[in-house]
Amino acid sequence: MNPAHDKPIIEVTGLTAGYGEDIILRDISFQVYPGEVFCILGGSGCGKSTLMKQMIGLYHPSSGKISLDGEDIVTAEGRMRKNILRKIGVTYQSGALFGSMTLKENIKLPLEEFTKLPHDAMDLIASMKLKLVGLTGFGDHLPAELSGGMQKRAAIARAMALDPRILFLDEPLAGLDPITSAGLDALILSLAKNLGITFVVVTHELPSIYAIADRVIMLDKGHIAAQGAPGELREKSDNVWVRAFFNRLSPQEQHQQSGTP
Amino acid sequence: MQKQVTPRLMKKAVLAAPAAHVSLTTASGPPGAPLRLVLTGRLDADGTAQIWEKIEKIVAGVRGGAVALDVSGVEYCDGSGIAMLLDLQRLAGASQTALSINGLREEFGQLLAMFDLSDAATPAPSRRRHLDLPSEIGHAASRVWGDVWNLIEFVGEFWASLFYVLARPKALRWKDALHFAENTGADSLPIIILIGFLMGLITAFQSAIPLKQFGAEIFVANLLGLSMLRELGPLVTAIIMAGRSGSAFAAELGTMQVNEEINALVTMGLDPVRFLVVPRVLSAMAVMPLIVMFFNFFALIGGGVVMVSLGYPVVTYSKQVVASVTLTDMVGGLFKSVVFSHLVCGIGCLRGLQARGGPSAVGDSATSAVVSGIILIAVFDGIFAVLFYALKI
Repeated sequence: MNPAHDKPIIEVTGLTAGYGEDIILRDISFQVYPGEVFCILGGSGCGKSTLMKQMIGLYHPSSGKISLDGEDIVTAEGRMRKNILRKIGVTYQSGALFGSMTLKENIKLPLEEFTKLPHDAMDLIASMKLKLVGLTGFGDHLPAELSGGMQKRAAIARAMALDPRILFLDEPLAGLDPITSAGLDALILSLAKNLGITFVVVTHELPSIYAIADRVIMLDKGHIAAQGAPGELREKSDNVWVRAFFNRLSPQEQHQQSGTP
Repeated sequence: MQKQVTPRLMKKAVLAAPAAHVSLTTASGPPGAPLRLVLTGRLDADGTAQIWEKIEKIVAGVRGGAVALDVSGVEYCDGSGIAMLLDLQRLAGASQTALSINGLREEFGQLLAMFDLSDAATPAPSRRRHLDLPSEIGHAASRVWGDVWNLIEFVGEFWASLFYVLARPKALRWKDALHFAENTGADSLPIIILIGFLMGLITAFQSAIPLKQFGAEIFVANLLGLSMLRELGPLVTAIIMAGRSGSAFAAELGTMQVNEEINALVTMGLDPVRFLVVPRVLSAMAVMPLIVMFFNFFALIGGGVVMVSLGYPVVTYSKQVVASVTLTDMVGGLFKSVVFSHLVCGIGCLRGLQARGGPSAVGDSATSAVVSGIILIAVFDGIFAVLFYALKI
C-alpha cells in the first residue's frame, strides 16, 4: 500500500450527517487505500458507528459523497447498489448472526442469494471460510452454542462469504478477553496481508489499534481531530485530546499536562 | 453444603444487622459564635437516614448565621454521607449561612471535592423537549400520520415483494415458510379448538334460555351457524392470531432489529421484507382459512352438545345448521379471515422492523403489534360489514 501512488478504494468527501435535526458528523473527508487496515477512533458517542453506517449505505447523509471502489453508494439504487454491496462485508458489534441458522447456513445465505453455485460448492466454500477463521468443525452449531469470540469470528467468516474487497468491522473486540482479542487481531492482519482485503475497523481498543492499524482517523465532536499512523499521533500530535487518548490519560491528567486547572 | 438464600433468610439477615451508630450533638457557644454541631460514627445510608432531616432543620434554622460542623469523629463516610454534606452546603448557600466542615478525614475530603454543587445546578441539555399542549397535539397528530404513511409504504413493499416471489418461486425461503405455517397453523390448533368449542357451547346455552320461552330453541342452530361462519369465527381466530403470532413476529423481528441482524441483511443486499416478512405473512394467510374452519366446526360441535342436552337429536340440529347457512356465508367468512391474517401478521412484522433501542423496544413492539392488530381487525370488520351489505352477500 502506498497512498502516494495507489488510487483510494474508499473516498469520503464532505460528509455531513445526523439523525433528524441532530448533526453528528460535520464535513468529514478522508481516503482509504487498498489493502490498508484503517481504524476509526474516538470516544463513546462521537459518531464512529454512525460514520460506518453511512459508509455501508445504511443511512443517507445530509450532504457529501461516499465512493466505494469508484462507485457512489449514496446515490446508487437498485441493481447498482446491490453490486456495490457485493464488494463489501460487514460485521456488527453483536455479531448479528442469524440465530435460527447454523454457522454454515449463515455463511451460505449470501451465496444462495447472489450466486448460482451448486449446493456442494456452497458447502465447501462455507467450510473454507470457517477454517479461515479457525472454526473448523463448528459448521452445524447454532450461534447461541458458541462463545462471544467465536461468534465474532463466525461473523467475519459470513462477511467474507462473497470474497469482498472491503470488510467493515464495528467494534470487533467489544467484550472479548485479551487473548481472544489478540487472536482476532492476528486474523485481521493475516486476511489483510494474504488476501489483500481492505479493513475499516471502528474501535477504541488501544492495544488492537497499535497492533493492526496502518492509519487511523480520530473523531471528536463530529469532526476529524487527527489522522495518521497511530504511533505518530501518540508522539507528535499537537492536539492534547488526541495525545491523551493514545496515552490513556484521565481528564485530570490531561488538565495537568495542558496546564489548565 | 451451600445454603440457599431465601427471602425469609434475607429478611432475618437484614434484621440482625447491627444498627448504624451515628450521633449528632449540638453545642451552643457564647452569643455571636457559630452554632457547633458534632457528628460522630458511620455516615452510611443507614446512618444518614437517621439524622438527615434533623440536621437539615437545624442548619436551615440558622438563617444568616454561622454553623461549624465538626466531623472529626466520623469513622466512615460513603456516597450517602457525602450527599448529606453536599446537601448541607447547598442549604447553607441558599440561606446565606456560613457553614464550615471541620476535621473531615483526608480520604473523605477527596470524595467531597469530586463533586461540585454547580454541576447539579446546570444539568446537561436533555434531548427530550417539553412542549406545550398545542405542540404536543401537533406532534401526536404528525406521529399518527407518519404511522399511517409507514403502514401504506409497508403494504406496498410487501405486495411488491410478494409479486416478486410469485414470479420467482425460488426466491421464497420455503423451509422458513413451512416452519411458520406449522407454527401459526398446526401449533395453534389446541387453543383454536378449545376457544371454538367453548364459544359455541356458551353462545348456544345463553341463547337457548330466552329462545326456550318461545319454544324456538331449534333456531339456536341458525344463530350459531350464521354468527360463527360469517362473523365470530374469522374475528376470534384473528384476535387469537394477533395475540399468538402477531406478537411473536413483532418480538422476533424486533430482537433481530436490536441485534443488528436486519442491518446485516440490508448490507448483504437482501430485502428484509422479502426475506423475513413474506414467508411469515404468506404462510399465515395460507393456514388461516384452515384454522377458521376448525374454529367453526368445533363451535358448532359445542352448540350441538347444548342442543343434545336440550333433547334435540344430532340429525335435527345438523340439518337445521346446514339449511340455515349458505356456501357464500362460509366463503365470505373465510375471505375475511385471510384479510385479517394479512393485517395482524403484517402489522406484527412491521412493528418488529420499527423497533429501535434496547430490549424494552422488543416488548413495546410486541404490545403495539397486538393493539394495532386488534384495531385493524375491528376497522376492517366494519368495512366488510358495509361491503357485504352493499353487495348483498
